[in-house]
Parts: sequence; C-alpha cells; structure tokens
Amino acid sequence: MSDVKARPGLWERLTGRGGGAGGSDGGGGADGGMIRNGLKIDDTFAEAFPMTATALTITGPSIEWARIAATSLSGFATSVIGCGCEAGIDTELPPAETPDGRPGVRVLIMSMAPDGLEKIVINRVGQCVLTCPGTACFSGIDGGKRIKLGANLRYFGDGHQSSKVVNGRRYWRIPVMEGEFLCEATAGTTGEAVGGGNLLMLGRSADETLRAAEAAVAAMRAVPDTILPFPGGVVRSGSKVGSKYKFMIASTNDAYCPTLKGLSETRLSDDVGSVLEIVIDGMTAAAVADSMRAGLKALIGIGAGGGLIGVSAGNYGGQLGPHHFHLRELLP
Amino acid sequence: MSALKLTLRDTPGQRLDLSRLTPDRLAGLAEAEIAALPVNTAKTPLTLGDAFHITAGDATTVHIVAADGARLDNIGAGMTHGRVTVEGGAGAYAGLGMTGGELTVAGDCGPFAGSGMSGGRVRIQGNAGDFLGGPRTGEMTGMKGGTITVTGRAGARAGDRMRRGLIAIGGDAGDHAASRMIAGTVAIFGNCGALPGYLMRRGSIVLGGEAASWTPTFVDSGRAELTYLAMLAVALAGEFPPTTLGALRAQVRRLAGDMAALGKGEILRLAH
Repeated sequence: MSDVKARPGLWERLTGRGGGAGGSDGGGGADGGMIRNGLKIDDTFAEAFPMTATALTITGPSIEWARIAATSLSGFATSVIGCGCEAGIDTELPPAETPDGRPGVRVLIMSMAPDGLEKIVINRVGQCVLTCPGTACFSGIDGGKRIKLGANLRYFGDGHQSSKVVNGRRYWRIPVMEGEFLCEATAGTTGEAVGGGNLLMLGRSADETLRAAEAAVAAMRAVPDTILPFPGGVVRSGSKVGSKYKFMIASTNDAYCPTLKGLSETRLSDDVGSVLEIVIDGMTAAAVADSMRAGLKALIGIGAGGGLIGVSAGNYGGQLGPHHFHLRELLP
Repeated sequence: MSALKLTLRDTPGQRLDLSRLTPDRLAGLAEAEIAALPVNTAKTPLTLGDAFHITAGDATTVHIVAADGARLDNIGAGMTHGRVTVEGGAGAYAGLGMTGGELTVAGDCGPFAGSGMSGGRVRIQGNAGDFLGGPRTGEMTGMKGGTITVTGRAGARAGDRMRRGLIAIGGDAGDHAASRMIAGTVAIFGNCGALPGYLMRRGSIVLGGEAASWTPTFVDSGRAELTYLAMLAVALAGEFPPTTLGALRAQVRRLAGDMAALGKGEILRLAH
C-alpha cells in the first residue's frame, strides 16, 4: 500500500475522502463541464487572493522611452514568491491624459504584504525610472494609504532638489546629469487588489496551445486595471503547493504535466499534449473577472479547430483565497 | 437657478467692503437679509441694497456688475467654495484669504489681489495692481496656495513673500517681481521691471521676456528642459494661448539666486 501513499491525492480520490492534498488541482472536478466550439470548459473556478497595489504613470519624451522605463521597472516581477512583487504594464496613455502632457505608460505593482510595497516601489523607481532618460513618474491612483515615492528619491539630489506643489499635489525636482527628474512625492495604494486569477489552457501540442495563449493574452491586455505578470503573460510551469522536498514550497503541478500522465494523478485526457496558464492580477476583483472573461472568449473563438482541447482554472479547494472566479459565470 | 446678481447703482462715494458677499457667507440668508448687509467702510452707513440693485438667485454663484469697480474692496474675501464673478473691475484685496472656490474678474483689479490666499482660483482678465498675492503689513508670508492668473499685466511686487502656489501673468510685471519669495512659482510671460527675485529664498520665476534690470546676485546656472514646466503648461492650459505655453516645453536658461539670501530659487528664462 505504500504505492498509494506515494502519489498525493490518489488515496483521497479512491476513498472519496477530501482534505488538503493541497495544490492547484482544478478542484470542482471535470464533471459537469461545458462545451463551447468543441472546447471542454471545466465547471470550476480560479481561486485568488487579496493584494495591496499601487499604480504609477511613467511619462517620457516619446512613448518608446516611457515603455523602456516601464518595462525595466516591471521586470523580474512575475511572482511574489521569488521576486518580492508582481508588476506589469496596464496600459499606454496618450499625452492628453498625463500630468505633463507627454506620452505615458501606466504600471501596476502588487504585493501580498502592505508594509513591504513602499520599499519595493521606491527601489524599482529609483533604479529603473530615475535612471531612464527623459522620464517622469507620477502616482497613477488616488486614495488609500500613500506610499513615499519622490519623497524618498529626492535625497539623490544631494541638497539641490526642490519641491513644487501643483493643484494640491507635491512633486520633487531632482537635478540629474540629463536635466531634471520630476517625481510625485507620494503615490496612492489600494487594498482591494486581487492576485491569482487564472486560466488553464489544455491543447493538443505545445505550438497550438501557445498560439491560443497568445490570442488570449492579446485580448486580455486590453482590459484596464489588470496585468499579466508572467513572461508574455503566460506561465508554462504552473505549480502546486508543497513538494516531496522539504525545502521547496511549491513544485511542478504534476497533475497537469503531459509527460507524467502514467505516473501521477493526472487531470489530462489522452489527447492533451501541452498545458499553459495565464495568471491575472487586477486592481479590483471585477477587473480580474473582466480579464478572464476576455481570455475565455478569445479561447472559445479559437476552439477545437485551433488545437485547443479544454479550458480550466486553478484553485486550492476554495479554502485559502476569498475570491472565486467561476468559469461558468464568465462564459460569453 | 441663475446666479445672485448685484448691479452697482452708482460709483460709491466711499470705498465699499464686499467681504460678506461670498457663497458661504450668503448661504441661507433671505433676500431682505442680503439687502441689509452693511458694505460701508466710512462713517456713512450703506447697505448692499443701497449700493446695488439685487436680483435674487442661487448664492453659490455671485455675479457682480460694476462698470467702475475700483472702490469695491474685498470681493471674494475668505471664499471657501462656489463662484464669484465680476463683470467690470474690482478694488483692493480681491480674493483676500480665499481657501477655495473661483473668483473671476473681467476687468482690472486693484492692489493686493489674492493676498493671503491658500486655495482656490483667482482669474483676472484685465490687469492686476501692485502686491499681487502679496502679504498685508505685518504678515510673515504672502499667498500660501491656490492659483492666480492675470491675462494682462501686473504691478510691482507681484508674488511678494510668496509661500506656495502659482501666479501666472500673461503680460508684463512691474518692479521687484517675486521679491522676498519663499517658494512657489511666478510665471511672467511678458517682460518685468527692475530686480526680479530680489532677496528670493526658494521658488521659481518663469520669465518670457526681459527684465528692466537684473538682480546682480543671481548666477547663470546653465540651460535645460524641465518637465516641471511641461506640467505647468498642462496646469495653465486654457488660461493662456498655446503659443504662449509652448515655450514652457522648450529649453530654458536657469539663473540661480538670490545668492544674497538663501539662494535656492531660480529665474527660468524662456526661449533664451
């Protein structure tokens, strides 16, 4: 019977006893799924968590330089687990919508712990925007507990910095070799942000699944107040909680690994050759739902004809995260 | 409902104190009470109803019509919200101590417009007198916040001892602009008189034209494009023509000073 215990989750399935085998096992089961355009859509839900977030507007002399600063600032921020925060570009802003009338980019930065966000943001702005030619940095969100931004970076001016108050908001002018770096003193935050919305795409081959994921990402990028923090918006290595190794807090989600069908409690039918995941963080639960809705619509549009077999979502049984996004409710 | 309208009957024989005519002070007053408000500054008593023809209306907007308004002092004084508009000119201390709301004067203002203000907006579509935003005798600082825009020219000592806020003048300014400035921004799109920024501590003077004479204790500090001025252009959009504001986005020459005082201020010369 030691064989049974070596495969997590198998005992529970055989005996019908539930309990925290843990992991994003697509709980809710494959029973009662829905079919759309030949795609099997699991009647399950994504389980997501509250996060603290800020938004910044980065402007530049051209949209290219604003993008460069934003991309640099939001790099290495795929997951709070290893990167300290999750960050990404929300949208681009035309000159008419920025405080200095120049092209801009809005970035979102999120963390699990409210206290840690300020230090993370100051570090990233200091290393990636202060340093980037032509850019300026403003708060992209009002309300919430303000975190320091220019109020900390001003010391780089070594006494030559100066402050201006325009329309009740304070900005710091920091002299730099290029000219001046203008940075708003503080930025707003929100505790209503949500992280971990997700979609799992099950496809016939890696290539087809990737093309479907690209299409979903393109549709989801248009949803405001959201970011897709992973590379290109897509995770190829979805994880589960726990591991056979004591030192690993998360490990490969073997139930969704196509090469482990014979060795694990697989959730994959025989025809699934590859699985990709899209993770969504948003400033509100509604924004995450909108993003998942847009992604789902794009995937259904591709359908079985495009090499997709099914769509699912990851959760932890619903006991950990307060936000549940049911795929059934997000169908077009 | 339309604005409460006050039309000056004749040029008054004394200066009038119109400080009671702000939306917050008029709120809840009946027509008869409004007409009975005293406005005299001399011994001869004069009520609002004596000096003005009153047309009832919603007092969140007060509209004053005065072809010769040079003796109408304290218009909009202490305003916290709402709008006061003057069709004609205003006397001294227009917008005195405002904390919010909007005061718009179609004609000229006398001295000390915007004195002591800490919020809100004063719009002077004619010319402004001396000490625009400046402190009254004995006050340690001038205006502490808010925005004053002048379409025409301003007199001497505009922005004297300014502590915070924005003054923007479309035309010329007189002598000693931004004298003893503590902080804030005074933008003069025309020329200015003698010795701008005299004893300036911090803050910025933006100058579109020439000074009649330069304060000798300012030092040339090079040229740069400043994103702060781009923000100023956005903040002033609609108040001045785009051709005027366009120079804010170009390179400026920076003169640092007044080195005879704290010396952390600057004069930014546009298109220079």
